[in-house]
Amino acid sequence: MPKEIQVLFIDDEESIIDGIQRLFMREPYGIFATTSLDKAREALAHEKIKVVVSDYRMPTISGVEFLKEVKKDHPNIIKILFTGYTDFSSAEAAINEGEVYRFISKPWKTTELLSTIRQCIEHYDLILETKTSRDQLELSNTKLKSMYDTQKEFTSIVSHELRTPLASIKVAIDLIIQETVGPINSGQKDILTRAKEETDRLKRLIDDILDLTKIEVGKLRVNFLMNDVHRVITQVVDAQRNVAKKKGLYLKTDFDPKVPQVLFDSDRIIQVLNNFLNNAIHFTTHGGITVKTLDKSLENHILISVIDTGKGIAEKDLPKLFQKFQQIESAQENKKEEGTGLGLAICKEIIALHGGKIWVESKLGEGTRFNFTLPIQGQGVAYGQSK
Amino acid sequence: MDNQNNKKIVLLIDDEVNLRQLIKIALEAKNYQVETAGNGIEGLAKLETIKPDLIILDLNMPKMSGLEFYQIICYGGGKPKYPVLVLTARTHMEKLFTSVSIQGFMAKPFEISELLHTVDTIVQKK
Repeated sequence: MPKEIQVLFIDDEESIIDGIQRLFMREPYGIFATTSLDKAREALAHEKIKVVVSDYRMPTISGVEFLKEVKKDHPNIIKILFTGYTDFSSAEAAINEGEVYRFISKPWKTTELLSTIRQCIEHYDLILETKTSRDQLELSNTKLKSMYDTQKEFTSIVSHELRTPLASIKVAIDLIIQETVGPINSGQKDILTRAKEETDRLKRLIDDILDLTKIEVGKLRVNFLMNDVHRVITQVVDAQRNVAKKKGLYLKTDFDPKVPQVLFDSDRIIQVLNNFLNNAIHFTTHGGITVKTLDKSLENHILISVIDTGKGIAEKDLPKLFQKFQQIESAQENKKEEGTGLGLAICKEIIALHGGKIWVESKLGEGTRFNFTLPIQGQGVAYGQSK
Repeated sequence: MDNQNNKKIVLLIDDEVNLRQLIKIALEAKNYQVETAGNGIEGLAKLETIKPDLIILDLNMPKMSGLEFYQIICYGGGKPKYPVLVLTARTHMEKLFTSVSIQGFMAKPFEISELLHTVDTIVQKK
């Protein structure tokens, strides 16, 4: 089987061509050596040439010109210039210009020439390999990204589509419970009330999935304004006070008067605070909840904490808290008003959009402290709209 | 509300047959006369024969969407001739309507008691 031609030699001296041909006979790759420019071009077009070695001085075209031509048509081919000692300085600039990989001076040392050509072939193979794997990576990256986008779009469409039939089911149940179409007995009412609770849960779940999807694709509109966080906390605390009172819990605030106004989207921060407070009230049976603020100007942020005297969270469960659809054991025990398992994941994204941090500290039996920070100096602005 | 013995008329435009029927039952129980249409074109046809006190309008409908219907009843840039309450499964569609004059907006799924309350308020104000 003939060896695949991988190296092309061009030199205007027949004697050199003969010498080259003999020299490379034992090499694992084939060479094509010629004095003819046309034949050289033909070989470039039809063979899988990896390395071109060209003489510097040729009658019709200079070696540098020829190598430039090679570079233009076959950018990956490794180019070598054969030069006599006398040509060296004049060839130097040309070498740079033609992106010549090496030059070999005449007369050459046999072992050097062979090892140089071998290195060139290895170099060529390596570049090709790198390029191929990079192309493959880019391709799979693009595919992944488009799959991710499709998935998010699908989630969004499905969530919207679910709302319409849910609306009908909800109205149907409500019409019967409210006895719009005639009286029902207490047993029937009990059953339908359970169905109603579940449709409401389904609605919350769809809302949360939509919220999270929007955040993940960077489509959540965030409206950053200079706001007083104490005003927003007071609003949320006032709204939740009765819920806490019913459970016999205190709900108080502990504001640091030095806390400055910062940039945030009050609707979104209310969403986070409500989530924290709901959890705190939910998992606390005695004592109560304190919402505390702290000015941390030196660290360029303000700190907001919701501290409860509840049962606490086991250390092993702490990392799961902000993950999607993760409800820890203690949360699953309480089936009364089930969460969606998405609330804290949404909080985490909202705070990230603001350029803040969110974390939880807890000890079993001693209570839990949910914290988040909001940057001072408006670093959050840069995180708006796009992601 | 019904002191002249002529019921207030609500035109309900929604392509969801079941939801349409259920809202109709709820409104009729509150003594409204309810006319229904499955899309904007049917809605326009209804307007040839009735003068509703309120139009409840779904946004996503085949043939003619709620938004197109709304633009047509505005007769070129003005306010619509009838009070409009928009219903939609899309959240945050309110923004689309901030520059136009509608009387109410409700996202599906909604509380039927809330819808009835809103309808009462709009019709009484008219």
